[in-house]
Amino acid sequence: MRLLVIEDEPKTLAYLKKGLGESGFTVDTARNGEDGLHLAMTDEYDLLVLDVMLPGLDGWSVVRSLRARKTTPVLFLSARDELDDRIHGLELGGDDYLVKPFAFVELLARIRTLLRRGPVREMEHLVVGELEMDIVKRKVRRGGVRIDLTPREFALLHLLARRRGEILSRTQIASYVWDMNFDSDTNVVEVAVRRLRAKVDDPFSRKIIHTVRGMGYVLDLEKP
Amino acid sequence: MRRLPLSVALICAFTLISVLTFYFVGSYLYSHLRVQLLRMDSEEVLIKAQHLRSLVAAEESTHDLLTHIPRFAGQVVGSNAFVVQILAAGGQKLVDFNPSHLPADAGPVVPDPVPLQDLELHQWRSAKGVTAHGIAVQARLRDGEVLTIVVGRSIDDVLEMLNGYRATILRAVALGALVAILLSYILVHRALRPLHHITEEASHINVEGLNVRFSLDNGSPELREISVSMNEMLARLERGFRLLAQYTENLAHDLRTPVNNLRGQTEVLLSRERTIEEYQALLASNLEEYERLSRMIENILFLTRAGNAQIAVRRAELDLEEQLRLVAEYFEGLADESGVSLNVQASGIIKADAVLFRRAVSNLIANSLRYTPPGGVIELSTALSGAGTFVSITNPGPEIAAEHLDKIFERFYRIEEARTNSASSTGLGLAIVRSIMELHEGLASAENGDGFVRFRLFFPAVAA
Repeated sequence: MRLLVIEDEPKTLAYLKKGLGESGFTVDTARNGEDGLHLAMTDEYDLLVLDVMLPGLDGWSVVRSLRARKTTPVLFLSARDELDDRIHGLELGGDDYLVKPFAFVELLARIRTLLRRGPVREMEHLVVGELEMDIVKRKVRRGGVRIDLTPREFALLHLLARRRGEILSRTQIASYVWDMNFDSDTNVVEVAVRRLRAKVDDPFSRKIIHTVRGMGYVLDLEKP
Repeated sequence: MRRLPLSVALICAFTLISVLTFYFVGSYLYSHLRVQLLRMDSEEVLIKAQHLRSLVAAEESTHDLLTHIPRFAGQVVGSNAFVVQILAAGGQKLVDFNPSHLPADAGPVVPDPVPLQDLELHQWRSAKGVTAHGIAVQARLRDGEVLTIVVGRSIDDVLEMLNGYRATILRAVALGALVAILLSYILVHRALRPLHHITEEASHINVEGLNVRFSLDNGSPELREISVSMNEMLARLERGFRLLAQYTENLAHDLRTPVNNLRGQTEVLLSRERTIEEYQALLASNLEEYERLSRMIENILFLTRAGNAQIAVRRAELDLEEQLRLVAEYFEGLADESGVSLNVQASGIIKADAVLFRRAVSNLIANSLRYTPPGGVIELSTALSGAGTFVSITNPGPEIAAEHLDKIFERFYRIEEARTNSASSTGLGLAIVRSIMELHEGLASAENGDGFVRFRLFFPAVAA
């Protein structure tokens, strides 16, 4: 997957290139609107990550020109989050809008969602190592032993297993599992994960729910 | 359109009103007097004509009449303004008493039997410019001969008097208007002086000096009212600015702590070679501080926008029990860890923004959890009143001192300074609750009970 990141702030550009590269993307970069638009027009990219405030040609103009010829998905980055700006960005043909400061895992999740496109097929059974989840009957077994989970614990485990290997931020988890779409000052998610672990991981020697300190949680056989 | 200054407009209005009033009163008096004087005058003429008619009727013939001329002349003796003529049928003047040589042009002749009361006199003007009025009537001698009597009178004296009177009235009107202008000028200036005073006082008010107040000891009750309400406005502004200044100060202060942590721990760590694990621990710790800063920024922006009503409130019908259970479930694990349980006793439906509602309730629960002792139960309940719906979050625990009760919803307000650094709290949770309630035209309040603290959210009934 090839991404083009257009961003004028050097530190932001550097960490985006590094982080996205390490997440398996091929990343090209541009430091201003003109260069970025030129690259986007002449080359083929799967997705554009585009800063709104750029010197010279700004993000809005880049998308306007790009949309005349191409349908490459565009994810806007901006320090401004007034509703008007968001709407403006989406009207011009942007596909998503992320406000700075954002969690890197949030950016990754948005990029993956945009690249997936089309409906995601929900699987009826999920298997991670010796963990088996029956989504329809809402039953969980590990190594053949049945684990009783509350509905929310099940939803949390389902989210982690479905996004296996993907780091999920606390905000994302709160939003998916409890429909709490705002940052909360509390450590509710930590407690919930701790409780889930007590049932899913603690009785077993091999741990599959991992904490990525400061970023969030990931479910996989190996710690990332 | 440019408006006239109030003082000028008032003076003009006063003057106009008084001039018009004088003018109309004067005109009325003048015309009344004129009618009265002329009527008195014409009555005199008519009475004389009537009298002459009966004198003629008493005479046998023109011959008799001529022998009795002094009788007729006696009618008008002493007044040079009169003209009296008696004409024979042939036009010959039998009696001609006309000391002022008025041409007698008394108009059509009134036939004999017609009574003379209330008849209109004929008015004419002589070549010499004398105005007169009079009447010509028929009279019959006993022998049957018909004579014509002409009685007239110059009314120049009356008209002269009336003209003089009119001039006097006009002078009075002009003088009255002048007096009115002067008096209204003085009055208006006196009445508006407190306003100038207020303007003068207002010109000294600026953001640095919001503690000044308008003086209340001058001016009318109305102006006093203005001063009072402006003073109240100033008090609100002063409080607003003070809060804003305090808010900025608190904000800077609260930013200092995470920034100081970031800087300090990074400097210390970089001062010498460390193990990979130490670097990782530092970065993870830094990340936590960054998250805290991000959250503060988000909260501050939320509050600022809510204050400017820039947040869209998407109202939908919310089932209170469902919503409260959802939030309670979210906090269940966290509450359980500290030995606290949540109890929901709710019913009813409100029209509110789901995300904002949950945010308000969860901020309150997060706050309650901090103060509830282990083993306590946090009650989430609802109550319907005529005006709307109350949502209450009640937790057992220490009471909030009365002086803090009103203020805990203010930004960065903390009861104890020591709590400033309590973990991840930004000190904005309750301020956000209040903002959310304001966005819903509702109210957030806190009250103490016997060993418990209750927060109440009031959602006014909204017309569906």
